[in-house]
Amino acid sequence: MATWTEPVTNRASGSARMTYKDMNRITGNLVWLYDYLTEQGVTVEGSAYSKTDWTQNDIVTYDQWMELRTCLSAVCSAIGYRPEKAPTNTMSYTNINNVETIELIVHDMAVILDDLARINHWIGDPLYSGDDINAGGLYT
Amino acid sequence: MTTINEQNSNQIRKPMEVYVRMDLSDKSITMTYSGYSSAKIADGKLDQTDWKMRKLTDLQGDGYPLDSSCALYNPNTTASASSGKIGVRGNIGQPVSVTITGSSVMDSATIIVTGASSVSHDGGTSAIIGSSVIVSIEDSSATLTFSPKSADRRVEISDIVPGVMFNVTNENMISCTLSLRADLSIVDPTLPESELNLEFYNDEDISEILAAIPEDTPITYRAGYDGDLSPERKFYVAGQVTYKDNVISVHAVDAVHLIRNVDGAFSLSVDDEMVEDMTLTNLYRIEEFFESVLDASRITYEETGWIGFNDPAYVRRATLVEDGSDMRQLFADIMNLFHIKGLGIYVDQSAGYDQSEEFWPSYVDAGRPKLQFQKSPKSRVIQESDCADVIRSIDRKIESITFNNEIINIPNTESVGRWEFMSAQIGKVTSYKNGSAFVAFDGYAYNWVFNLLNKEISNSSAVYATSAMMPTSTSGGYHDVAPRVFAGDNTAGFGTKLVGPDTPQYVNDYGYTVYTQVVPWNAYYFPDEYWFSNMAGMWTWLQSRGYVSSSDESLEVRISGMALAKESSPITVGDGAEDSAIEIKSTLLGQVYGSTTDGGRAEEIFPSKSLQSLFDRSPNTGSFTWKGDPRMQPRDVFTFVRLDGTEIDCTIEQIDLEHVGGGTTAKITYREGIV
Repeated sequence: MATWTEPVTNRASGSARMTYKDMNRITGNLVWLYDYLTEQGVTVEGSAYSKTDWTQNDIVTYDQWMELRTCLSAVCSAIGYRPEKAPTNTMSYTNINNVETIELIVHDMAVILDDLARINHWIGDPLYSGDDINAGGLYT
Repeated sequence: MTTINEQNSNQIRKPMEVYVRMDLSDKSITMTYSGYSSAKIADGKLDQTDWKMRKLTDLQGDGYPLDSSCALYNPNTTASASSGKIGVRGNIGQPVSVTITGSSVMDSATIIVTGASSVSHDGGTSAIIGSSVIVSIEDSSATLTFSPKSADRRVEISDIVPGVMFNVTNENMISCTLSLRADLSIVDPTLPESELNLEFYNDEDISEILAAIPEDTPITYRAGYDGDLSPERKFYVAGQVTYKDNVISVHAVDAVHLIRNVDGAFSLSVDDEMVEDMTLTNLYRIEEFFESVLDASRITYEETGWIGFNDPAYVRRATLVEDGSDMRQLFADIMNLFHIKGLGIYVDQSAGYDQSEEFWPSYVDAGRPKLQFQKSPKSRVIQESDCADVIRSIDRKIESITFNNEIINIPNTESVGRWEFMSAQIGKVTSYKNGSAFVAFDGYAYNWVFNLLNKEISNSSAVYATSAMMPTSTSGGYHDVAPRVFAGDNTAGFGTKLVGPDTPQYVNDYGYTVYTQVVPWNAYYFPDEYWFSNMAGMWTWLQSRGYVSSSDESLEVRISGMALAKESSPITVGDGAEDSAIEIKSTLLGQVYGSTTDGGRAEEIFPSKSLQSLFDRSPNTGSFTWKGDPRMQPRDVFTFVRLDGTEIDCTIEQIDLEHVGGGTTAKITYREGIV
């Protein structure tokens, strides 16, 4: 399974640059999200992103970027998250911040969902059955 | 994408990109390109020298900037002038080869390439300094192999053309200075040439090639920032291109230089925007006006264009045949005298124009005038506080014009700009303590009348001034005191009485007294101690000064009010400042009547209105150095915000734009008003 790397979401100006390491982090996280959600039994449309081995020799193509947007949209849909602002094809720092912010939000939602699932597992236990949150709640 | 306006607003700006090209390529040879299969990506458009290399989302080196300037690489995007091209781009750290084949034997080829340290072929290896290299071919084909500059960069080939083409960019440029000129003089303006002076590095001695560069070889210039470059300007080589100590020096001039003799032809065209905003009828009015003047001036012309909604090109070619006047002088006269008010042209107000019904020829790159019927838009506001080397001057005042021996006197009642520096303005607030003396104004005033008998001061435009002050006290907090208007008549707060050197006036309030007086220094030189007659046309040194007296030693008095002038930049007076009569000798003759109403033909518009424009032309001129490239040219109008906040419309007469050491400055010479 791919590893999760903390996204960079604080680029402040157009002087920020996009390197192959950034592309590896963004696509690697995207694959991680796909794998993680799938492991949790969440259905993600399509397949995992196909490229995580970017080098300095690469030139990001239109098709590769469109695939990235499609995969990002798929993991968002799988978890029921609708981003406030959809990624675009403009290579601006705000757009890339947005891409990585979406990944981060999906990541956090997925982990919380997983935690809730674990809590749900304990419903029925005398210790938790009277809990206001879980007893008769959304996940019972 | 950064823009020139963004950069100009910064204290620290990115170095401006400068592109200068001298194209001596052999247009008779067609070149094809092949054998670049080792490239990472390529479209082979190496002969499209005007197409820019498309900035791509390239991860080489330290990646690409996230400033929206880079596009995702899409092999389906067709190369074009607007979308740019791919050229030939290698893999990082790897050599790349291109085979060139010409339609005939090529002596040499010019290559524009980045990321390469050298290029080798059968004839040897040439080092690449900067982004261009000229290699000797002596064959109809050659395979060129480019070595990368470093392991993390890719070779990117933009152009390969037969012959010689110099591409000068920031990488190999030492300096590039443009001097763009107009002549806004009131009397006998000339048609000045604009010029470009360029120095750039070239590691190979190509003196022989340079020696063969003919006069008038075109050079193109653009500058700005990627995505926001200036329009292309054309210059033409003038004089020998030289090579010394690895530096090539070029002197070039604009197309005015090409207007050399009486047989030359010129063209006048109507501005495209004007065509869009005007009705066909009004275009005919301008055409009629123009042709009427040419007819009256015995200038023959031929039509080479047609006015129409679908054909905005309106061109007249004219040749002087009878009087033998110089074609350049005809140009100068047109530029000087075709600023005419009241032509009766309907303008589309929805397009942002007003109904001032003015038109005049505007400066066009390469020196070709074109008719434009409205004010140039004020494209920039320039703060004097952002400028260095500020100089102000005044050339002359006109009271009568002799126009080709016909004397036309027009009362000069409202000279534009003359009094601006003397108008009443709120002065800089300054604090003074007891015993302080201060000077509110110290400088020249023009054309003032002093009547010491009645202690009056005035000028011929019936504008009055004195040194009324508005003191406030710091005691118990600031509070306003009504400005003291000195004894006598007053209009809108202007005092009309001169505060003579022996009669200081004062304001007394809150325990302090402020004495003020205006001193016309050179009045002392007149023999009559009581009455000085009309000093029209004379320059007088005025000083407005004051003194603070208070019983409270700690009390501060804040002085503001009607300082006569507050600008710190000096004003110098030209030699012709006291000339009041001028003589205009023009190649443009006759009279033209125009309509001020639809169908009317009642009013003479030429030459009277032309001469009125000369009267209205301000004698105030000046110059300053600005921090960047204002992206303007001669005859453009800007708003000059003086140190005291006064806003003045000014017309640019000359810009010296200098690119050197990565920095750009513009020295601007202007005339006040819209010329």
